[in-house]
Amino acid sequence: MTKSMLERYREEREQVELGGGVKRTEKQHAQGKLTARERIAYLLDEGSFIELNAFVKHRCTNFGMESKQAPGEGVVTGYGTIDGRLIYVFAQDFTVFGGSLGEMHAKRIVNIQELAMKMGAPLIGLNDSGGARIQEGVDALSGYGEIFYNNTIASGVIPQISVIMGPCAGGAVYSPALTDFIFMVDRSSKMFITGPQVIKTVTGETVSAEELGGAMSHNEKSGVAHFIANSDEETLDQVKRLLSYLPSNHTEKPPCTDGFSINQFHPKLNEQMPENPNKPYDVKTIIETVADHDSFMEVQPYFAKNIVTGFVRIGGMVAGVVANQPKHLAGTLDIDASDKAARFIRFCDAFQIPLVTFIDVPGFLPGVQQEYGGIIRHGAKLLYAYSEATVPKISVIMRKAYGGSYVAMSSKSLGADLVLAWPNAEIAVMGPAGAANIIFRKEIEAADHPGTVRQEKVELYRETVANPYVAAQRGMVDDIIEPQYTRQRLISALDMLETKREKLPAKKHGNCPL
Amino acid sequence: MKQYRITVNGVSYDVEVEEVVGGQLSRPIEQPVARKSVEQPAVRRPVVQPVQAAPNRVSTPRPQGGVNSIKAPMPGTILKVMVVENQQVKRGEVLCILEAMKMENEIVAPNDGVVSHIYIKDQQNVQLDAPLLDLE
Repeated sequence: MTKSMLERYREEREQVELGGGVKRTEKQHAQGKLTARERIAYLLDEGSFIELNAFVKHRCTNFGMESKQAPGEGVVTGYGTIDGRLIYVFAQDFTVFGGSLGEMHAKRIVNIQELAMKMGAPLIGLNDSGGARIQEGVDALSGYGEIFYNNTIASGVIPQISVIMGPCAGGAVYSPALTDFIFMVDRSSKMFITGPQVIKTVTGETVSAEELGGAMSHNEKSGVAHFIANSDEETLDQVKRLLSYLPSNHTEKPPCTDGFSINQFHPKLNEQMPENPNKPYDVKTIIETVADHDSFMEVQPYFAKNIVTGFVRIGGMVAGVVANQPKHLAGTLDIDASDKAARFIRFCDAFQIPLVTFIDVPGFLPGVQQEYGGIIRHGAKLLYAYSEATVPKISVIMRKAYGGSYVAMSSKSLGADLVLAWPNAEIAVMGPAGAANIIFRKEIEAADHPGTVRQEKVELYRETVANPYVAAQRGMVDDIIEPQYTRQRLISALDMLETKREKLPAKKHGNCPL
Repeated sequence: MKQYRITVNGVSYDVEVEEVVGGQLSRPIEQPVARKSVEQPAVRRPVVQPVQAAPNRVSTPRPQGGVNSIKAPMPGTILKVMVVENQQVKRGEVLCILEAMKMENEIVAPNDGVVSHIYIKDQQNVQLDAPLLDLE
């Protein structure tokens, strides 16, 4: 090899690694954003990143593009490790043509998508792009299409994580939307199909970009995003934390940890539940008590707060938790809560993560808005997801379990493997007060002191029907336990169910109500 | 190595206790004894270090000043109004209790402010999105 060959090589590589150059890098930094390469370096184990297809060049000759260079084509792709485990990553480089996506940009992404699927390793996409490279026309569009297609094919094969760290607008939003989890950096990220200007011209509505597609809007209102953090670094830290709960692909079990205590019990839990069943409490404190210390990672904490979803470790074993939250909307199931929980359950089922469900649900949220919004078809997703899931399913009935919402929340009849109930559980078609009013309406009306009689009948209903013993007699509850031993029983149950094998009947795929 | 039998709530556990000298264990910690010994599953299950939760406090002073109207999240009955007009309230303070869906739902202040107007009184029925009170 001659010296000049090596020199040329080094020059070419240096050119690519410079990205959009010093000026644009400074601009990126001034906005509080890291560059694509800095982000990858921060996310992966030190020195583990290997870049692929660094030398690609666009073939566009329209509008003087033939004379324009786009180092790396506005994206950095490759593989490396996080916590020693293989992952594939792409990071769009806003300093090169605004990170715009053209034919070769897409080709780089498609290449690592296919590698990730073949190798069974997670794919992480760091999005920071102005959109399609319009000079390239349909070549860019076709590139998007191929990425979407691969996102769909990889769904359920490997975990796919999208991180929005800048603009992500128009068709580009659908790659993240097809992946399993979306992280957004507060203030610097935006996602929308049509931006504020288009909305202004078409409908006359005035809305700021932040309000329309900012991180909090998508975390709180639309439910498009799952996580939010303050800065690039904090967001990438969260990505690493999420990965610590996930297997690398659908054939693996989730990673476990050791060094936990399996014999802890919590006398406080026996008192934590308010005596009055109409008093709200924060179910997250119960999850945190039962789970390994500091192991609860909530998914979508700002969206549909009436249901809590997240990952925990219990005795070192990973589980997906779904819990009704009495503190919000009385813990009822509504459209958003059903969607949120169903999607989470399907993720856990796809990646062999056992499900632990904490139940305290008074019913589906009544209202015209809910019915017109299609609570029937949205609620059906929850029943579908639980029934279809073949991972270990454990339910803990903590208090209310009424009517259809009880059936929907991982009941024995939907295939739960183990249903535990606390002694104060009320499992019934409806609450004792409502039921007594219907069953004993005439008696109550005819009484001299309707109030006293009603109270007596409510108690009678509670005694006869609304308790865990009736359900336990029928085998719909497998055991009644003291709250303080919940953690031990969950560890034992997860251990017992570790080897669960269940297969659905052969089919192409089910038809989940969407 | 000393062996003890410890009984917790009527359940006995056999534990081994080892003295630690100079912060060093003479042998690495093994899996807890009471753990069911399962055959290693055929599938790969990597062991990872737990990642600590990042202190994730998203700075959200969202409501941009002005009047913030608090609306009913569900139809129901106002059980009790906990504040009076012109009262200073802190974020998270309970403003009123809305009984709905068999639950005494606490309606809390989304931000610090002054209660500028109250639209409701005790025992009043409210519809979804009915204005409850204004925070300034």
